[in-house]
Amino acid sequence: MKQIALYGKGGIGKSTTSANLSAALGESGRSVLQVGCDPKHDSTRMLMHAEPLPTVLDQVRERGAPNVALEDVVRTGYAGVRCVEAGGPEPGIGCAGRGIIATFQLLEERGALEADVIVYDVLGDVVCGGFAMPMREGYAEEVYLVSSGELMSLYAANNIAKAIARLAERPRCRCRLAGVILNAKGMEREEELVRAFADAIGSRLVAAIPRDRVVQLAELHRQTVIEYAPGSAQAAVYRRLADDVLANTDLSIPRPLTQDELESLAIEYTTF
Amino acid sequence: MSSNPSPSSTPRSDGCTLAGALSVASAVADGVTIVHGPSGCSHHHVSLLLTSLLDRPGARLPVLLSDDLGEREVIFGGEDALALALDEAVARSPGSIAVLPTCVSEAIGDDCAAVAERVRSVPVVVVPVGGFLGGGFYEGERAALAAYAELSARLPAPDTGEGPVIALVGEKNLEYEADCHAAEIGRLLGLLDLGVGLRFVREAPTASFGLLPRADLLVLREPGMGGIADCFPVRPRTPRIHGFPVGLSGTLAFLERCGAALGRDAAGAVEDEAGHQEAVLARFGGLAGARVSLSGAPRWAVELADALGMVVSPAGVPVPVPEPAPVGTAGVARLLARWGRSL
Ligand SMILES: Nc1ncnc2c1ncn2[C@@H]1O[C@H](COP(=O)(O)OP(=O)(O)OP(=O)(O)O)[C@@H](O)[C@H]1O
Ligand code: SF4
Ligand SMILES: [Mg+2]
Repeated sequence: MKQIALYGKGGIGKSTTSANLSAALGESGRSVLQVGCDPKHDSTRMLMHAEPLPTVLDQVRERGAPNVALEDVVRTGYAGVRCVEAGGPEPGIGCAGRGIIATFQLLEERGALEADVIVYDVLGDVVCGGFAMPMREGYAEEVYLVSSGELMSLYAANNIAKAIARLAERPRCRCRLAGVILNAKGMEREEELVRAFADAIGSRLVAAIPRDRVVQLAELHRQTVIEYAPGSAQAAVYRRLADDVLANTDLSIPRPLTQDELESLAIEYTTF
Repeated sequence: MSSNPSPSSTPRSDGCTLAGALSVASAVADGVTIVHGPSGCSHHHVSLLLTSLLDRPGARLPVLLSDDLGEREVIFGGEDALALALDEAVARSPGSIAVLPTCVSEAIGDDCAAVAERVRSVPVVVVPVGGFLGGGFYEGERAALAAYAELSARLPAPDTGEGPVIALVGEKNLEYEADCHAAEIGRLLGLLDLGVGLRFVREAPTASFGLLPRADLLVLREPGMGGIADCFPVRPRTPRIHGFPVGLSGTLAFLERCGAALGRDAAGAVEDEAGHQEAVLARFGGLAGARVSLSGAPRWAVELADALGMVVSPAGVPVPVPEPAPVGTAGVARLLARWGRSL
């Protein structure tokens, strides 16, 4: 069983990439579970054709944790991918991080965390210990950093690398960095920059996903690209990513950059 | 710390800010206190409160509610739970309601003040504490006093009739002998034909807090309380006495200060009290000549030993010097009884 997690800056394309990755893995015959770890609960939307999925935490709130069954919160979407959304409080109230911890406890107790591949799609930045929990408690064994070439996106990726490096010092922590995924914004020399960043932190660029309008078109049709445009070049990129993820055994403890190093790197690849 | 297991040497002020705030809020005679947090927070502190009530047989049991925050509230926010608890508190028609946040509710950022504002029928005091966040017991105690002082400005002044209003501020409600201390101050003020008008806050009804802005003299429990008194809604230059009277000369000086603050001649009262002190010392005349060790003890204790003709020497028998110190001449008498027992 592979347990992978996609972390990265808000809005960078974690959910889109996760869903297409899961769809490609599902099509290839693997059993796949995608867990959306974000109060926005939009991770599995395309896999579920926008059919609303009851979130784990809404169910916990309505019925109390002991009364929540797996059937209430796990639904099968495109290509047999099983989908779960953690959900969480309204913005600005309560503690979403604790919600993630409670969700994992519930899924674990119910034996839901079984599949050939589990894909965790985790919210923007690691805002508190709760969102680091999938990494800390050994759920997310292989972390992929999703980033574009924009400085703030690399900055967020570097912060997550810091969290991994810190956690990896703990004797029983199995969390490692599995690679960097470029989800391109279409900047000049973007791939070179993100590749250099990946190398600099002691990892590697596993995929360069171009920016493509088909992603939005698929989204408008409430589908992943894999389903909406199976013959497209973009779908082929996601399938290749799926193959690479399955084959990847190259796990590392990252060496995060200092702020200065990160900025110098970004300047080196910027054409003024 | 003393290894003497007597009730007066049992520490009661080592808790979090909640414990301190609770020691004040639970002393509002007609108040209801809501602990906005896990029920465990109330449990610990209620045990402590009940222990201190054992010293006062027949004392009123404070009304404490916990809104029992659990995992669900931590995740989704605890404001709804607080709103429910407020409804329950209002239904009891109290004089006021105190809301005491805890670490849990502060960590998740509940807006207690906003929830409390919805209650119109009963004054609600939200004490800005957060468990272990922002200090310990004393900070909690002071935050609660400041919060009730703020409320006092919104209350009508009760009719007090003639005479100046003297307010005792910040009595230590968990302190063993707290009522003895207040009674002693009452006795001393009586020598000046004065009396305690407001106990802020100990077993006082909410309406009485309306007296605070009208106070003519604030008697602070301890010198460190000047800071909070600075933000009390009292008249400018309202005189204060920084600390309850301690020791022989300290007690006489207290009388003089009260007289000076309120424009009364204290000479007669001081003379009477000095006579009373002589009588007390005479009762413990048997202690004269005893060798006692008072290393590190405050001046009032050394003064007391001298007045009794005791011999202070490092080789002497150690005698207890409690902290906080016993109040007034009555406190001196109780302490001498303890010294007598340890010699
Ligand atoms: N490769 C791409 N080409 C074109 N558009 C893309 C691509 N990847 C993502 N997008 C678009 O970017 C937007 C944000 O993507 P997505 O929701 O996947 O980001 P996210 O990282 O999950 O965001 P959040 O942190 O808010 O959860 C979406 O509208 C998506 O359609
Ligand atoms: S420290 Fe926090 S959790 Fe502990 S009793 Fe105080 S408020 Fe409650
Ligand atoms: Mg997302």
